[in-house]
Amino acid sequence: MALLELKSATIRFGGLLAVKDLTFSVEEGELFGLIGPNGAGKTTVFNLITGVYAPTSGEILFNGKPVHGRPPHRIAAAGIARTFQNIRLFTGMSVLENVLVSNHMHSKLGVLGAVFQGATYRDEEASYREEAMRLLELFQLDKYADEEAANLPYGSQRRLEIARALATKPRLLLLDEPAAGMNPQESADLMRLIRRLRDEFKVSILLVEHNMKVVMGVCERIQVLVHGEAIAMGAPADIRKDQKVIEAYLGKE
Amino acid sequence: MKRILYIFGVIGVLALLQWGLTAVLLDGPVRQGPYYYQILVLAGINIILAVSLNLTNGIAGQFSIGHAGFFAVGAYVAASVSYYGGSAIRAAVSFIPPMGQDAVVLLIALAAAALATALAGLIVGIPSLRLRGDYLAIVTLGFGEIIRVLILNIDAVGGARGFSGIPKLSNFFWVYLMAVATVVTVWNLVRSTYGRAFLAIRENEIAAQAMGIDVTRHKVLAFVIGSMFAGMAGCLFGHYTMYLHTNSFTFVKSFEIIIMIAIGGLGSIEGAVLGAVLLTVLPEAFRGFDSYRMIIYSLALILIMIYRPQGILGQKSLFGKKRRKSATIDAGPTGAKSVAAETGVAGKQ
Amino acid sequence: MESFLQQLINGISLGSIYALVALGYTMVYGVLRLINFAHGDVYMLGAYFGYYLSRAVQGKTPSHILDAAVVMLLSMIGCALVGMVMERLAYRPVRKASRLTLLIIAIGVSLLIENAGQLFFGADPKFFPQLIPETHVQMGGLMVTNQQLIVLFTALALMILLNLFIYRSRTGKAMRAVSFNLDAAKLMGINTDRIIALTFALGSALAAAGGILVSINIPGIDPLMGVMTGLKAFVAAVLGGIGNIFGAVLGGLILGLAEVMVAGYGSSTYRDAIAFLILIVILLFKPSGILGKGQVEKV
Repeated sequence: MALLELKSATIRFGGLLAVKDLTFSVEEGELFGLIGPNGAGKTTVFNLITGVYAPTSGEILFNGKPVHGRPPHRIAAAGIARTFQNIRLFTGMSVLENVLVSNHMHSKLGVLGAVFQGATYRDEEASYREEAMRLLELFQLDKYADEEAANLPYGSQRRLEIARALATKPRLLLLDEPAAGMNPQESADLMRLIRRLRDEFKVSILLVEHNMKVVMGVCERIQVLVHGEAIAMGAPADIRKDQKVIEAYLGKE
Repeated sequence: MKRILYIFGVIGVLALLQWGLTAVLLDGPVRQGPYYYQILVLAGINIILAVSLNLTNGIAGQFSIGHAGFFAVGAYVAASVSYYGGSAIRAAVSFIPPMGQDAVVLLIALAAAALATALAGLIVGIPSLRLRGDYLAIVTLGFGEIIRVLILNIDAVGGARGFSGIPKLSNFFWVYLMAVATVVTVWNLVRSTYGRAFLAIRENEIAAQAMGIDVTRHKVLAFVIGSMFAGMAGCLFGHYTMYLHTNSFTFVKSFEIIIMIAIGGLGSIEGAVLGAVLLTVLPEAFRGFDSYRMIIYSLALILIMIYRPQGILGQKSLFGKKRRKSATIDAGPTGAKSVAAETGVAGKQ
Repeated sequence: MESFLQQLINGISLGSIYALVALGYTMVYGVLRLINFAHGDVYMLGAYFGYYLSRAVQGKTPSHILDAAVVMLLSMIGCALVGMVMERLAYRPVRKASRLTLLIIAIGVSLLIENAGQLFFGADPKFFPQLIPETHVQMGGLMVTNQQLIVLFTALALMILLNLFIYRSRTGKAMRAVSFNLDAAKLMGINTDRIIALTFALGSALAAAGGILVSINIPGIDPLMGVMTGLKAFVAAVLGGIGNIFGAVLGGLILGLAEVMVAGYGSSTYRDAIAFLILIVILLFKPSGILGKGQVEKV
């Protein structure tokens, strides 16, 4: 059974058909790429999967259960985490706190428990902090743990977003243009990081990216989207040769 | 165990202070003693108001200018309980000494105030599902005014004449016990996953949702908790002044509480306490220059906001860990060199 | 029926005052995204300027109407200056600050004007001199005063003038551009500082006109008269869709009518609550106001 399945997902904004009849699935542990020219509807697909928008028609199944139309926090709790194209960190909070936000949905404490801070609170909090610091170490952000997130350099902010998403313990991680604004060295590092995340955290990764080198280098399967419609799908080598894809990117001769 | 000791310690210290203050200020040699005592009590009530509003406004980022409305609901509900039900409650617990009976009546009134204002907070919190920023602000202001006009039309609580004959049950001890409880509650909440959820909503709602936080529920929760404490402050206020009039609960009072938290530093609990004390004491200190007092006061507010918008304390924590605001890190995306150095994440596998 | 029509006229007359004040709120909000809480106090200043000017001017011109016109014009100019000074000293230094900081400064400015007003004008109400002797005009079966008509037509004329200015003049176009996007307008070479100052001046002048018109109808003025009116005018602006000129006028009229009807047919003690009740109900169904456009955050 596929981890994520889109079945004829469609969304319409007024007269604009942003995503049309899109069907694809992401397998457990897969590195899956979603590419297409600007305005193809890639981020919209992310927003559909994460519940920011509800599809006008069609279905989205996660782990075999329908999730379309559910509010974003429920989808996050179901095990889908994401990063944002335009970084959306909690800028006024510390780097550590950014990661710790993820614990709220897993915490067993009610408001009163949080106020009285008994043994459960102390145990939970200690283990949260430990886990979060481990995650920050992995992303080499531990030295900034108490720094305000806004003060981080750009590359670190992007990494913190990924760390924060991973902290929710997702089964599917959606990365929206993680390589944007990175130089070749940085994107090479990022590619290694993505592979490593899949192996160590056992997550499937769905990647939207403009940097072809990253997409082709990392993804096992790629779905190509143009004007909200699927035009091709397959392994990177096939996509590279696909006539329709070449036309979409370079225009017809 | 340690916790129980703490609680008894606080109660003991406050009781001792109450006894001492009564001896020195109320019955004692100090000229104008009762006046100082009153300022002290009002400062305590303002601390409860400011710290609770700080949870809604400063920490959860839901800008409310209707706090005085909740303050009013609590004051009137609690006063009604002790005014109309006081003797029944006393009769039920007639086996304990009168001082104990007072405490029971006050505690029941407090609970009623908390319940009623939590409910009011829930009702006002619902619009925050759909509104944000300035719109939310003006709706909370509207709710505050509606509550005031409604009270004005209820004859059982005195209407336009005001509500008199409320028993004097509250004093320094109760006010500061509640103030400590408020500070500790908000303090602990902020340091729990709830506090981080509130902050996350303030910082970025969309990202907060993506982190699994039910934004709507938590906004309403922040509202309910904040208004609940305002209601309890209202109970203590009414049982101290023994008289209530809707004029004490106009939006000007809401503004005053906002100014307290703004001057102290939005989001900072210590700041809210400091702001509450300053705004209670300073206007009294300038009473001598009466006609210029409010002018100086408003000018000071404008100047502080222009030259120190983060408030006197800003985001700083007096006791907690201070946040390093290092200038050595270049935050710009163009800091190519540092970015390159930064991104060697997977480099050492 | 007649009494209903009578109430209708009273409501429109009150509503047009709210509309005049609401225009200032909406214009300033349009360019700065600032709720200028001090705007209601400018309206109060307008009434007081009118009061002092009337005593100087009255009887010095050939006709009552001319008296009133001179008083109103000078008071509008005075308030326009106050508005510009306010913007320059209190708001311009913090234009980049958070919305909350701006809001608190606005509250501070409002308190400052109110308290300065109490100090200089005295806290007791003053009686606004009767600039134009009251006469009754028979319209069908309806009795209206000439003052009501003057209020109505002046307010209408000012709104038409404002509309012409904003939609027909070059400066008005610049103002709309600034309101649409301040930074982009700056990049297009618009002197945004000047436009913002002008917006304050215009809004304040309209508030002053509102202050004088209301005093012609209800002559008691006091330094806190702007508090409630200001608040309700702001509610009117939000109701219509803040940032929208027609919305302000529409909101003002709805509010004025609703208030007069509630006071006339219900209980006058609920008068002050009705504005907020309408506001809440409308915002619950249409969060951006009647004519406002909703803003959706892009993810």
